[in-house]
Amino acid sequence: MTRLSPGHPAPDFELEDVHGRTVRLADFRGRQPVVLVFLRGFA
Amino acid sequence: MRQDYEKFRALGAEVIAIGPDSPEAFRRYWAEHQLPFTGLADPKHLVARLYGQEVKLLKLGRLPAVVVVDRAGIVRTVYYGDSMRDIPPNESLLATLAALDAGTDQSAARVAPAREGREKHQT
Repeated sequence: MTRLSPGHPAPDFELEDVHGRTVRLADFRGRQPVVLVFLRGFA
Repeated sequence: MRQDYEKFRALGAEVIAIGPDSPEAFRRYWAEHQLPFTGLADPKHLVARLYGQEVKLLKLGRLPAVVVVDRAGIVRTVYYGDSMRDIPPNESLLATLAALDAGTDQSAARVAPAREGREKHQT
């Protein structure tokens, strides 16, 4: 498991949101900062 | 996060939650709690692994982690929790984002540890 370091590009990814829309991290580049919150799971 | 979402929005940031549950579980949870931010199901742990979130397969859980990405797509702050409840306070994340906006990032943007005496957060 490699942890990220500040100062490096955030790895791009693509997943579907709860409305079935595809969300890509790259879509925010040049537009907004993003806070990625990695959940531990609902259960 | 739900209570503070508007504060994140006010700083121009988007909040994206990524978790190990199924897309169906995400839809139900988001509908039930009416969450205003983006929720992404990552049941195959693809993004979690990409970002170095520790996945505890035996416990069917993950440790929480938070990553702040600036407008240029650069990682500014990473925080890896060492227990299930170990997450950075929103105030620290908001301070980080405010510093990004003020152009004083790099040096000033630092997520304070939730408890003293830990070294694992990096900025």
